[in-house]
Amino acid sequence: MEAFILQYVDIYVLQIMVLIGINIIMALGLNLITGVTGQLSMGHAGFMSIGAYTSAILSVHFGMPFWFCLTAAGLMAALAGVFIGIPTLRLEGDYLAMVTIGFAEIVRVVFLNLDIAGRGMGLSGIPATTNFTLVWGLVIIIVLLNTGLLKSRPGRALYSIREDEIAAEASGVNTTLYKVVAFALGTFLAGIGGSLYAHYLTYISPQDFDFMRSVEYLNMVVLGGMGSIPGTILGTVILTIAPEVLRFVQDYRLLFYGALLVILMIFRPNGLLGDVRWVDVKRTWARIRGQALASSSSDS
Amino acid sequence: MSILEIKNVSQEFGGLLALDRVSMTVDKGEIFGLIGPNGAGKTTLFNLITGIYRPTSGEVWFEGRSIGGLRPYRIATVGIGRTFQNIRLFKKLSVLDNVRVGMHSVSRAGFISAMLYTPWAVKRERVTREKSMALLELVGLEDKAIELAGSLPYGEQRCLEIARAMALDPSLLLLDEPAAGMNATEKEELLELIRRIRELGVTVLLVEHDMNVVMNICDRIAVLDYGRKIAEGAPEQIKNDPRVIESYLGVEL
Repeated sequence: MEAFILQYVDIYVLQIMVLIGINIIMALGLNLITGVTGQLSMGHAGFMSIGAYTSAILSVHFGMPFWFCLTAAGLMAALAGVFIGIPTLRLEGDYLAMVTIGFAEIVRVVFLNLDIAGRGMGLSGIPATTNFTLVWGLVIIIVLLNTGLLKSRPGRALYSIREDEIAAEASGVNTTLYKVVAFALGTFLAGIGGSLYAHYLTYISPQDFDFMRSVEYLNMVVLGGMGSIPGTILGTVILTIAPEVLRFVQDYRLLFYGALLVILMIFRPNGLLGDVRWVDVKRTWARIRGQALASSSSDS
Repeated sequence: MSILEIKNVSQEFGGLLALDRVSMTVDKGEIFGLIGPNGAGKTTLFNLITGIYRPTSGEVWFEGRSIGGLRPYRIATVGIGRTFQNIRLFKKLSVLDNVRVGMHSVSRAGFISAMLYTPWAVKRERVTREKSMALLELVGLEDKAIELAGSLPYGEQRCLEIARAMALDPSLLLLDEPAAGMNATEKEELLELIRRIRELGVTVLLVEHDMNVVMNICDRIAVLDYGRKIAEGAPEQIKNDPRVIESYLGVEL
């Protein structure tokens, strides 16, 4: 597959495409936690690093096969998600965000001091088992599963928690359980993304998973539209490509970035596709077609 | 035959005694009104019944079992539905989705079957959709099924909240000031709706300030003032009870 693509684009573009895929997996996980269920998590990179290091350590130090490492990465991250999710159940908004930031920092410092993780030097020589097909195959599966989830009973329960937690409980939703499950699913995806990342770059270190990284993923979800799958994908694509495209304004990159976000907050505070519903798109399209038909028939 | 028994319930918040040894019984199939001046403890009592608060003392019995201290979602599953004083809809979800969330405890499709689009989950979805549409027809909102809940006019939002509470298939429905903010026509329609709900076999416990609504539709009424029950009986009795008049209008000088 990669050879096929390389006939048309050069390897730099291929790398970007793989990274977009990994970022989509990460962002969809965060979307589940923050966009859909409304639990503000600003430590997503911490769960990514748990996945990355688990996978890297298992394959470099224990020689485990990649599939095992990938699955273990997801499960370890999910376990951490539950571990964080349960005590924070009563926290909201800013306080939950603080705990998640703290958690990610703790994780970073732990790996910084773990011998088996290579301490500050990180881990290198990770088998390069991630490729375009694997990443995008997983993206497609994850998007399908996510869509199925969000359009059905458990998905609606998660959205209702974001909208009004008290009303959700009064409607029979076990908000405690669902919040923890949302965390577990979202962090599982982060673990998977971390593992794919580690086995693509073949080298990871604690700096790769700092607070700014968490903020980047949050930006992707917020830019694209909280709770929307196509929105999250769009936000991820834009924000993964932007730093590359903006290389020419390298020095002013952060300024550009900041301006972009400010403009967004003014004109589309709910993200690009945040307020867009498929049913509204269909209706607008039907209306446009209706008008086009009406005007073309009056011409004849 | 009683469906809800409140036995000597008190609710304390720090130093404030919001409810003081309140007892009452609601019988199956009746429409029971709860009135009293603002701050009397009516919504506190509702919150207590639905599990948002745990009674400081006393017991709450529903259909023969104690429900005091149960979590709100458990109380919803045993058959008590409620609406809120200041309307808590899921504003960014569609009208139909709001009702479908109400059906959460009735359908059983879980995470795995939803993600995998299993035929069983698909069928449950269809049943949920049909039942939810039927509930929207009950309250007259079936045309607005795909509209955003937040875009509905106020009176329709209240009806939607009632539809959502009815989705629980409750035996007891708690309505917290359903007529607030409605005009005369809407109030008429509301009374009609409550009667239809009663015909479906649901017992209704109603907090309301509009005396016309209360006197018109309630079989029995209890009056709270400063956390205590000061009167209980048929509308006619309550209307003429001097203590009730005093609590609302004050004492003549």
